[in-house]
Amino acid sequence: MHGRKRVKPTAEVEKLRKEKEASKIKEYNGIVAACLEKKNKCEFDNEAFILTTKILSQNPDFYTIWNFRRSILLNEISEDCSEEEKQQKFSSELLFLQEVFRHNPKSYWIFNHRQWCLDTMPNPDWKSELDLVSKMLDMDARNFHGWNYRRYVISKLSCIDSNALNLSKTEFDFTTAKINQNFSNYSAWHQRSKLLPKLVEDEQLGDQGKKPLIDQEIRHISILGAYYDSQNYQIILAFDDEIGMLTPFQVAYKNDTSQLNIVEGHWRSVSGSSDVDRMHGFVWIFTLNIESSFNELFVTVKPEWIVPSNSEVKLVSNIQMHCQLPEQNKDTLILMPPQTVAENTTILSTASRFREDILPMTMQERINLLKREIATVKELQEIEPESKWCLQTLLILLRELKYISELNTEESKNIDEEVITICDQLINIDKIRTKRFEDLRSRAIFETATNNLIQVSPNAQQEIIFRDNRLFMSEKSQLPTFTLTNRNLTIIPTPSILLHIRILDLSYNKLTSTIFLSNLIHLQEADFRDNCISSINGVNNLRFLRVLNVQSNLIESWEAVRNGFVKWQGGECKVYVSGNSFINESDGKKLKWEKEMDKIEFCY
Amino acid sequence: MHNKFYLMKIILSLMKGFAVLGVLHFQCRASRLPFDASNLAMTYTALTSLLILGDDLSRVDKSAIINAMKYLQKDDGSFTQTYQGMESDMRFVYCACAISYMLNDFSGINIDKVVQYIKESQSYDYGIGQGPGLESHGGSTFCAIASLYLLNKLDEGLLSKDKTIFWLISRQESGFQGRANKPPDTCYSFWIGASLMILDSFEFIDYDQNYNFLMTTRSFGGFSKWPGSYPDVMHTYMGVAGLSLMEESKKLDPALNISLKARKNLLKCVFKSE
Repeated sequence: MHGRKRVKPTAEVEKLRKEKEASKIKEYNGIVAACLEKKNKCEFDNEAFILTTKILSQNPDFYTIWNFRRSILLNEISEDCSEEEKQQKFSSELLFLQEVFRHNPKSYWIFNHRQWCLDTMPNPDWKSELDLVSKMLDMDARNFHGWNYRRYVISKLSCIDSNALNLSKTEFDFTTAKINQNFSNYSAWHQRSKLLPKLVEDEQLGDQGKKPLIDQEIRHISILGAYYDSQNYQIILAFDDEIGMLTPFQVAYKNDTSQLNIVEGHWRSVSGSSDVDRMHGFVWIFTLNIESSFNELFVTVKPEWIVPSNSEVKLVSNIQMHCQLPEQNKDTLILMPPQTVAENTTILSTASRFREDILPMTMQERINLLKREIATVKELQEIEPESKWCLQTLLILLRELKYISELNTEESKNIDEEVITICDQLINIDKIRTKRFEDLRSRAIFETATNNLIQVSPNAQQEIIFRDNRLFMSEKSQLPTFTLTNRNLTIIPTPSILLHIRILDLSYNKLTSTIFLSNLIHLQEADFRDNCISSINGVNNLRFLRVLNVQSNLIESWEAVRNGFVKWQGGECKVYVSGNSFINESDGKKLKWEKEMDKIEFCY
Repeated sequence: MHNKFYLMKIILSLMKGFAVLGVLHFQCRASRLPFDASNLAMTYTALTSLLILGDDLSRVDKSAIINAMKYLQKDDGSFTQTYQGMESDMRFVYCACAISYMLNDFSGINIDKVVQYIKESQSYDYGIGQGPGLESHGGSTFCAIASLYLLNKLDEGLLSKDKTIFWLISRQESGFQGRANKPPDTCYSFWIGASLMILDSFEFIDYDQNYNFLMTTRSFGGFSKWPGSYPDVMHTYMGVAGLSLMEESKKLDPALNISLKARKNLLKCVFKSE
């Protein structure tokens, strides 16, 4: 049996115990053999019944014997048997089960047999069953067999009892009682959560009619813009939020006979490591496999290609974009205006069943609810400042409030700052999950800092504006720069927002990897001074990189630096490496690695 | 060596029973075998045991098992353990998926219904219960995630990978607990740990605390559920498996719950032989 306390016995006690057990085992095996023999011969008599009683009292998990017992009972009541006799037989069965349960509260088969009895007997008493299950849950409040059985009994009761509302209410009060006994009884809370919607439903008799159900958890996404880069044979697609894709978008062209042919190529999101298909990203780049000579290109995006497990957003309908390609003009980006294709509209079905429990309410009602809840939890938090549950709940509520309501930048910034403060507290309180909250904190900081980096342009869906510079517009003397230093950043959550950045300063943080740079193809200068980087990664595609500063990091060998540049496709670059453990400052002022890395100048 | 083959023989003879009796309805007829009803969980155990012993499963009646499995799936997508069995939950969903995977034949299960059942069993906290509406539990969460993985439906079946990962890592409190606010228990080092490993997120746990907890549950050469209790075979296996995930022991395949060596055997003998 699980979880029995260990007691250290002496040698004589041990010996006696073993002898006693040996005879017990012999006796048990004898009974089992006898019983099974009767079973094989299909002898459904009283003797067999007694044998099953003896076995099951000791070992209620031997389900074959329960089956045999049921066969015996069925056999008994099939012959001339009055209703009273049947009732009597089953009543004593139930008493027997109670006895067995006392010693074995966690046997699936006891509950099974009990249910079978109640389903088979002429007059089951569900009310007393309810009392019984309450006593069981007094003995062990977390016994989920008990809770499950309770739900079964309630469902039976509500079938025969027309007063269903009363039942939900009594159940609700029961959970209240259990929670008052023990606040951390999660099973009671869980039960309560299932009852609440029922209660509300029961009480709202013919109320305000249907309110529009809003999908609070799932936000809708739209495409900001799509461009064809004729110089690099690439299509660039930008959404207005992060999205995880299961299947690449479809790119097709019309051939001479006006048929749509699919173009082969490969997709990647401008995010994280470049070779992983299913990543989050705002911006996605499709590189065609063949050099194009098309007149028109078509791009289709379908809602079902979104990965539900990786996206909190969904597309409402198919989107198709297409553009006529002008004569080969190698330097321009061609805009592809998006259109929603009317005839092939497929709406993504509701992702989860339990969302049906959500009470129908308008957006404003939901916002008010969130604000009320946030106030309540904050009160709780004043009483229990060290409670991680309060803090985690606040995080969830605040983040939802930020996403669903249209806040001005001031309010949005306030929420971000609150989130950062809460993360700081959780980093200290929930030590096992410190890194998780460090990352969440980094995310909040990054979101605040990049709030204005991507805007929707005034002529909607015509272009993507990055900080007053159009995407890939001709270079001005002032290069787009992004700075976020001294914020204890551990990750860069959405690199794709930085696609247009030329100069990046992330010094004095806690970044451990540069892999997020993978697709920031316009980057020219990157400053990672005083971080926690141990090797250089993700620079292969950064052709325009001229300066990389990794001073005072955690790099321990030349290989860790060199390997990052082996496949680098750029022109010339200066890499600053002093302050790392592999550097011996007395090696002289300039370091040149002439043989392999003639394009790279390593400096202190 | 001699014992190994003997064991294989026993398992195979029991399996024959499953295959043949799988479709018989549940009257108590005269039978020459010690156990009547074929059992999904036992079939899973038998197959993995054979793989561990190095068998190539060529003597197993695969088609009979797969055909019998069709009778065990209910309308809601879950599986019963035995024909007309009284309980159906995530445990047997896992057994069905694992058996299908090992025999390389998924025609015995309706995959869409399984995915639907798993989707509906996810709770508001993004853990997974034994069935729709039930409390999130470490064991059923493993069964669901491993099933989705073996069916290659992880992306569709999980409502939010990120939030489920957070539920899983929130179960660590020195060792791992099976549900919120319960004391840590040896076996969840495997159930929760393996789930995280399948979701590529095992690195986010605290290794030291997990290891130290497992060390305190050592008992008479085995492992027990809690510190200071008697050991049992199941928790001993789980303790070793939990350590194995942290690479303190032989490496483990988290989805099938067999060693990598046994898994290699599966790939070589079963998948190639078809």
